[in-house]
This record gives sequence, structure tokens and C-alpha cells, in this order.
Amino acid sequence: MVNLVANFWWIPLYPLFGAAIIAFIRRGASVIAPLMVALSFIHGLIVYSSPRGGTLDHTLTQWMPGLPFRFAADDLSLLMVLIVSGIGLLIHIYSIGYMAKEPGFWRYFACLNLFVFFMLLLVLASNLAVLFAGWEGVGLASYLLIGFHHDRPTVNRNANKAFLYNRAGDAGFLLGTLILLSIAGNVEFSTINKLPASGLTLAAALLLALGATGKSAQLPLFVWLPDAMVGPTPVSALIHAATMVTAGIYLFARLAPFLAANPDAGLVIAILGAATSLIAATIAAVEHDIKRILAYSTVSQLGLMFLAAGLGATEAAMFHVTTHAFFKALLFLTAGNIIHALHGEQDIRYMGGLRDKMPWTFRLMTLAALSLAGFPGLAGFFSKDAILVAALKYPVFFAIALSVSFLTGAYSSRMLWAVFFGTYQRDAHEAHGNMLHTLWPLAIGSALAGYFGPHGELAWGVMLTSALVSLSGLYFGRSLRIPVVLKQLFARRWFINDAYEAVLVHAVTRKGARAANWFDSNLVDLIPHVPSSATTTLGLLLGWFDRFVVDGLVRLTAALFSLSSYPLRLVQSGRIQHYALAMVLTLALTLGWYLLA
Amino acid sequence: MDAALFYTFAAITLAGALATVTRRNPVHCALGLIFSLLGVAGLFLLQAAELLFAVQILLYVGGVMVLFLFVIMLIHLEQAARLRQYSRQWPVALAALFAVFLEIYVLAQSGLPGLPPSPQPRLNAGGNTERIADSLFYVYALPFEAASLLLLIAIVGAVWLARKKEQPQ
Amino acid sequence: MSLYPITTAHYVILSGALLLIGAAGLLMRRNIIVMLMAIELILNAVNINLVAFSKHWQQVTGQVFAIFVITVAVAEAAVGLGILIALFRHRGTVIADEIDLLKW
Repeated sequence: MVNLVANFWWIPLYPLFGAAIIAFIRRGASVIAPLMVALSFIHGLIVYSSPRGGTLDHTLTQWMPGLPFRFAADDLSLLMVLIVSGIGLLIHIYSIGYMAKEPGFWRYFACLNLFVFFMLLLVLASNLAVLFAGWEGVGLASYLLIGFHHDRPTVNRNANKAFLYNRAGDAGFLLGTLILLSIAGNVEFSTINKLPASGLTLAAALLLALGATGKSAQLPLFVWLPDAMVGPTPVSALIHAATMVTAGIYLFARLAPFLAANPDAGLVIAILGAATSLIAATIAAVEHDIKRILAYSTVSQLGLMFLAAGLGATEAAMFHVTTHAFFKALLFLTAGNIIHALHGEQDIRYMGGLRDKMPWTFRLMTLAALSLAGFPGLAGFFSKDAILVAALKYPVFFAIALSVSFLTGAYSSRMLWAVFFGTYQRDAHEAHGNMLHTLWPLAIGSALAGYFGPHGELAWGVMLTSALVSLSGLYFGRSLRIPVVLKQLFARRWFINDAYEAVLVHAVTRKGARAANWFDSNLVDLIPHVPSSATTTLGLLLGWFDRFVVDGLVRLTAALFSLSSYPLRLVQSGRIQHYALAMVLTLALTLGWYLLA
Repeated sequence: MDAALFYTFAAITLAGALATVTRRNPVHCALGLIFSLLGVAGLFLLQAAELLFAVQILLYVGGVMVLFLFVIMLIHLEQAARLRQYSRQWPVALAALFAVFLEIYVLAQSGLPGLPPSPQPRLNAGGNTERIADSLFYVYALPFEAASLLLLIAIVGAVWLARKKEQPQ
Repeated sequence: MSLYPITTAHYVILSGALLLIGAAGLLMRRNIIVMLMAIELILNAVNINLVAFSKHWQQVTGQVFAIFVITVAVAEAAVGLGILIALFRHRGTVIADEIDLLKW
């Protein structure tokens, strides 16, 4: 009997094989892909529920000195394993229905499996190097899946954007890792978490945080996430709500002692998270595209998680990661149902009155939205509470968190009212089969997951306040009036994206391209130009030489002949007396010669 | 005695020659030539070449000169006689000829005294004509025949060249 | 060279003088008839020379050769005059300078 606990590191391999097999045979993806993820989930479940005796460890091979290919599994990583593989499994099954008529069906599932592999690799890593491998890999899978409909031009652009902003963060991640490697000689989490604080470690922590802002879509690198919504909706659900974007928070949870040793880094993280959370929530309140509302909502919730992690409350942060995975995935999938039913419509201004036509979708979405908003008793309420409690340390953060709560409720109810109520405009059919029944587990989780979380002391005051704020947000969301001047700011996304576009995209690509072109045509092209003009000049010289000197010699010879022949010709006068004279002269000369000699 | 004869005949020859080459009227030139030929005949006689003396007068004077005079009469030379008689190259020609004359004189002066003396006189042993006949018909028979062929060709050629054209154009 | 006695040398010089007069006539006169006559003079000069040496060597060969010369001279005079007549008929002139068809 195979020791599944000791061989826990097999967990990421099932979907890897799945991706490879699907890529080769291109058929049966709808069976292979979910099966592999199910295997990961089951294996993870077995390992999670077995007595382990501490952190499981396994080294595969030594890659470089100080960088072993090493896995570790503790409660944190196994929790993530279950979330990733569990919700991943549900989304795989959902996708069978959602992507049924798409060309490139096999490509979708191969990439999705690949994603699950990389994510599991990330959470089972025992050092920063293996984690970074998974980190990069999920970025790649995200790019592949966002760009699934690669025949549409905006899709390619947005996939590139996602990948590049991720890469920008990854530069920081890599620098941080290298600093830590130079300090400690290896980048095992156990080692890092015991490093004494110093200026270098602070720098490394900040750089790692920068990487996390790229992956988890926070300031300053969050602008890619809303544009990533051009990908298929299940992709948005899995990658950009439940799993990949939570990798940053997972990193903070892993390195909690390290962050605690460098509290200034934690403060920066918290500030970034709070600011992002507020900004994203305001933008969500004025968006019209249903998926973009959910995207900004994700950014906002991730901001709250950043806030918690930065303040050292990693348990609260991970709690919220878990509950958020449930209700955000549910929100995206129900949104997917709506979009599917309306044949691609995503603008909430063109929706309405779907309550009757899609009753189950309505109920599920409402449940998820209420959980998101923190309706008392639902999962989101408890996890958000945990964060609020952590934020009490700094009144500013608390205030911001409460404002975010209010706004969350507001935009959630705004969305619900716009989609499901009002006059009924279009024909729609309820979801069925895979696309409906995979949602039940998510619904259960959105409702009840809160009761399984970490329970610190129950702060009733906080709970009451948060409940009031959430409810009022939900109430006012129906007819939300935002002052026009603020509305412009929110609608233009606080001009952050525009600023990035102007500086990075236009300046770098256009001016950079022009500069590169100038360099190429003036400097680089000199290299072939010099020999080519030298050759041309040489050719001209040789041609001149040939024309004047060589041909000149020939022409000179010809001219000599004609010039000399003309006078000689005149000798032929035709008169015999001249000839006779010539004979006499010759005679005279010959005789003279004879006599003189 | 023979010196006086020599100088006389020489004078006639040279005077006739000068007349030939200088006179404007071609008939005068022909007359000069006749005198010159007669002088040459006399010189032949002085040299004990009796046959040649006779042949010269008969053929040369009696044949060739008559021929010349006939042709002069046939061709109307009055126009030619009125034109410039001397070619433009006469200075150069004269100079060249004078140079040749000098050279010959020098040659004669230097070489001829070295001439071996004459052998025993036997030139005309048995008569001059007989000796020439011997030589001509025995030793030099082939050139003799060739010469007769030459004369034939000359006759034919002369007749042909001088014929009148049939149709006046 | 002395004037008396007459030696072969005298004849040679005389022959040379006659030759040169004939050559002068050939080169300087424009009238073809006179040129032909000058040629006769040249031939006669040669004859004088031949006969002089015939006397000197006491052999008759020189005289035989002189006969041949006369023969040739006759033939040449005949043909030459025939050409002259033909030429006069075609060109209407007996001036040597005007007979230059073979010029360049």
C-alpha cells in the first residue's frame, strides 16, 4: 500500500500529467482534467486528515547550492491545497458545460490543469525558489487562459498586460529572494523566518511585498485584473478570485514571523492594502460590466486581506481567503450563467427582471453577494469581522475597513437590483446540469464556512458595528447616488490606469520604439553601411580605372595606329614619279651607307 | 686617236640625253634621243662590239624611235606642251641624283683601279658576230627563247592595248 | 683619273652620267612620253656599262646580255606606248600627275 502521506508531493503531479496527456491526445479533456484535479483533492484530503506528526518534508533533488527542490506540507499549505483543488474541481466540472461549444476545448482544459499544477506546487513549496517556480507558472497559466480567445485583439493585449504587470512584481520578488539568499545562503522558509531584522531584510521584505502586489492585484500593480475579465468566466472565477490572486496573501502567511520581525514592511503592506481596498470599492460602485464589478470587488477584498496580513493577523487573512474563495467563485459562476443565458451580454444596464426567469441563479447569487457584503451569520461576516478586529490597532485602518464594508454592501445590492429586478427585458433560460449543480457546494461554503474558522474572542462591539454598516450599505445600494465629481474620479478608475498607460505604454513603447529605431537605423545600420559604401566606392574607383586606364590603353593603341597611318597613307599619292623618287632616295641612302661603312 | 673619238661620241650621247630631258616639244625630245642613241652606237663600235653597233642603229633608232614618233604624232600633245613641264619634286630628285652620282664617282675612283688587268685579247677571235652567235645559240639558248616569248607577248599586248573601242559611247 | 688613255673607268663614269640624266628625266618631267624616253636612256646607259666590261674581261657575254637588254627595251617601249595610247584615250591627258587613280 502506497504511503500517501509520505508521498504528499505527488499532489501537484496529477494535473501536470493531465495537462500533458490532454495536450498530446487532445480528446477526452472533459474526463481527464476534472479527474486529475479530483485525484489531487482526494490525496490532499487524505493527507490533511491523517496524523502527520508535524510538517511533512520531502526533497526531490539539489538544484543548485542552497536551492533544493524541496516540498513541505503543514496545515497552512494543506488548507490551500484543499481550496485550490476543491474549488478547482468544481470549476472544471462547471467548465464542461460553459465551454461546451468552444473550439479549443482541449486547450482550455490543458491550461486549466497546468494552472492547478503550478498553484499546488506553489503552496507545497518549502523554499522561496520552488514557490517562485509555481508563482511564475500560475502567471503563465493565467496569461494562457486570459488569452484563450486569441482571435480578439483586446484579448491579446489584456493577456499581455496581465502577464507583464505580474512580471513587474516578479522582478521585485526575485530581488528580494536574492537578497535573502545572499544573507542566509538558502531561502527555506524556516531559515527566513528566523533571520534577525536588518536593513537588508526590510528591503527584501518590501521587495517580496512588491511581488505580492503584482500577483494579488494591489497598488501599484492592480490594473491588470479588471482587464483580465476578457477571459472565460470560469477562469475569472478560479484564477482571479479564488486562487492565484491569493498567492500573495499565502506568501505573507508563510513568512509571518519574517514580517513580524520587520514590522515596517508589514505597515507598508497594510497601507497598500487599505488604500487599494478603498479605491477599488469606489470604482466597483460605478462600473457597469458585471464581471468588472466583481473584479474590483476582488481587488478590494484582497486589500482587506493585505491589511490583515500586514498587521500580523495572518490567521484572519487566511480565514478571509477561504470564505472569499467560496462566495467570490460563486458570484463569478452565477454571473457566468447570466452571461451565458443572455448570449454574451455583460452590461448590467441591459439586464433586468431576471429573477423570474433564472430563479436559482438569483438565489445563489444573492446568497453569495450577501456573504460578500458581510450579512450577519454568513461566512463573509465572520471573516471580515476578524479583519476588523485586527484593524482596531490603528483607527485609520478601522475606519477605512468600515467604509469598504459599506461600499461593498452598496455595490453588491446595486448589482443585484440591476440584474434581477425591474422590468424584464430579455429572454433568458435558467442554468442546468454542470453549470448549476456545481454551485451547491460553493453555496454551502459561502453560508457556513464562517463557523469553521479561527475564533478568537468574539468582539460583539465590532460585530454589531460591522453588521450595521453592512446592512446600511446593502440598503442604500439600491438607489445609490454618488456626487458627480466623485463619480468621474471613480469612473476613470482614479486615473491610475491612464497614468500607467501614458507613462509605460505610450512613452516606453512609442518613444522607446522610436529611439530603438533611431539607434538601429543610424548606428546599427552603420555596420553594414560602412562595408557596403566602401565596396561601392571601390567599385566606382575600379570602374573609373577600367574606363579610363584600361580602356584608355586600348583606345590609345588604336589612336596611335590611326594617327600614324594617316600620314603614312598620304605617301600613296598614286603618282609613279613619287614612287620612283622613293626608289632613288633609297638607292642614294644605301650607297651612302655602304660607302661610309 | 680613240680618246678623241671617245670624247666626241660621249659628248653626242650626253648632249642628246640632256636635250631629251629638257625640251618642251616632245618631237625635240625624240630627236635628242635619236642623237643620244647614235652616240651610244658609236661607243659600241669603239668597244669592238660591231654587231651591237649595227643592232643598236637598226632596232633602237630605226624601230623604237620610229615608234615613238608615230605615237607622238597620234597623240595631240600641243596642250601638254603648253603646261608646266617639270614636276614639283625636281629639287629633291636632283639632289638625290647628284648624291648618287657622287657615290658612283667615289666608287669608281676607289674600286676600279683595283680592277685586275685585262686578260689576253681574244674578244673577237673568229669574228664578233660569230662569237655572239656561239654564245647566244649555245650557251644562252634558253634566255634567247624566253626573249622571243617576251617579244610575242609584247606584240600581243601592244596590239590589244592600242585597239580602238567598237562602239562610241 | 686622267683623261688619257681611255680606260674602262671612263666608260663606267659615262654610263653613270647617262644613267643619271635618264633618271633625272624620269623623275622630273611630267610628260609620260618624255618619261618613256628617259627610260630608254637609262637602258642605254646600262648597255654601255655591259659592253665596257665585256671589253675589259675579253668575253662576249656582256654583249650578249646587252642584246637581251635591247630586246626587253623594245618590248617594254612597245607595251608602254600601247598603255600610253589607251591611257590618253581614257583620260585625255599625258601628264603623269593627273594619273593618280591608285591614290589613297
